[in-house]
Amino acid sequence: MKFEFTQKYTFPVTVESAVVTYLDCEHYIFLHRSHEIAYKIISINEEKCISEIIYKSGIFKWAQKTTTEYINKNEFKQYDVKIKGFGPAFLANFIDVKTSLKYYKNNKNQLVGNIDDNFNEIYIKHDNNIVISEIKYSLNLPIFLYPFKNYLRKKLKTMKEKKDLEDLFMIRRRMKLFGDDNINKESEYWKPYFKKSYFLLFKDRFIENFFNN
Amino acid sequence: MRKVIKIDTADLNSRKLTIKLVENKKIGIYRLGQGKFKVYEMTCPHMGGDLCNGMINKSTIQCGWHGYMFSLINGNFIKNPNIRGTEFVRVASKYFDPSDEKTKNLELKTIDHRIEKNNLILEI
Repeated sequence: MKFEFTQKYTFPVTVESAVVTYLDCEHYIFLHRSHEIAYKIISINEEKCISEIIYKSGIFKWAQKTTTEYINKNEFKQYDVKIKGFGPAFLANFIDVKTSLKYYKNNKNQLVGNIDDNFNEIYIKHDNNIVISEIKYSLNLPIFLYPFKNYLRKKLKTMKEKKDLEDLFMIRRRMKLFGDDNINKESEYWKPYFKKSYFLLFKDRFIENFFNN
Repeated sequence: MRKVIKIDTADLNSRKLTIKLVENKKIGIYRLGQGKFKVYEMTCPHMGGDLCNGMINKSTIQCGWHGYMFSLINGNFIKNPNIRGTEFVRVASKYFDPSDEKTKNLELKTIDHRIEKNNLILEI
């Protein structure tokens, strides 16, 4: 049974900054260590990456294998989620989860969550170009799990909010130390990402997409 | 204008990192023993993470953002734990060179200091 929902809130940095944070996989298990304890890339090519993240929550530990696709310059898809291990997360094997994430500058009148106000909704006007993080979840649930759909929705939303708050905190810290995140290859904020030693998922595509002129 | 800060060395434990907030700057003081100290800025030289939230283990500190590890004895970069298990996908491309990772020139930023009558003197 299909269950779809969207989560949309402000992410007040530049689109480039939001995207590079997503691609900066080396921080996943350190900054988000309250849940994620290990990260492994199984395979990668220009468009897709198959990775495995080990999660821990209380006595439960499980591994989640996911395919991530870098679609457009600011858009990602995740699918083929496979769980192995012990704990309630194993139930996810019965669920087909697909997500589609996009970061974009707002250009319409709309209600969105405000990341700086506990995700309470605010009305933004079309001329407010604040960056929005919009993720569409598509869950295919077996009938016995369908009654838990709202619980699952809440869990998935809370997990994303927590990670994004941690990421935003670090982006703002960098801005305070090195200046704003406006697109500029020479700025102290951006320079480290261009070092040849800096590893990012889909690094070449990211740089070509945003900094190729 | 630089400010002179005095810290009583009796408050600093041997082989332990003591974190102080001095002039709005977080600093870490590591007592090496025999009246020798290392004083570091608590900002990660990799991407600017707050090392005060890092993981300290005897003589090393690991940043809580990307996990980069540094020696508290000399401030040198020790390792990037993310390389383990992902070497095979860290292949050279137009904008990435894995051989560069081995020569990464990162080290903790030190703060000049001197010892005067059981006080550690910093000029910040």
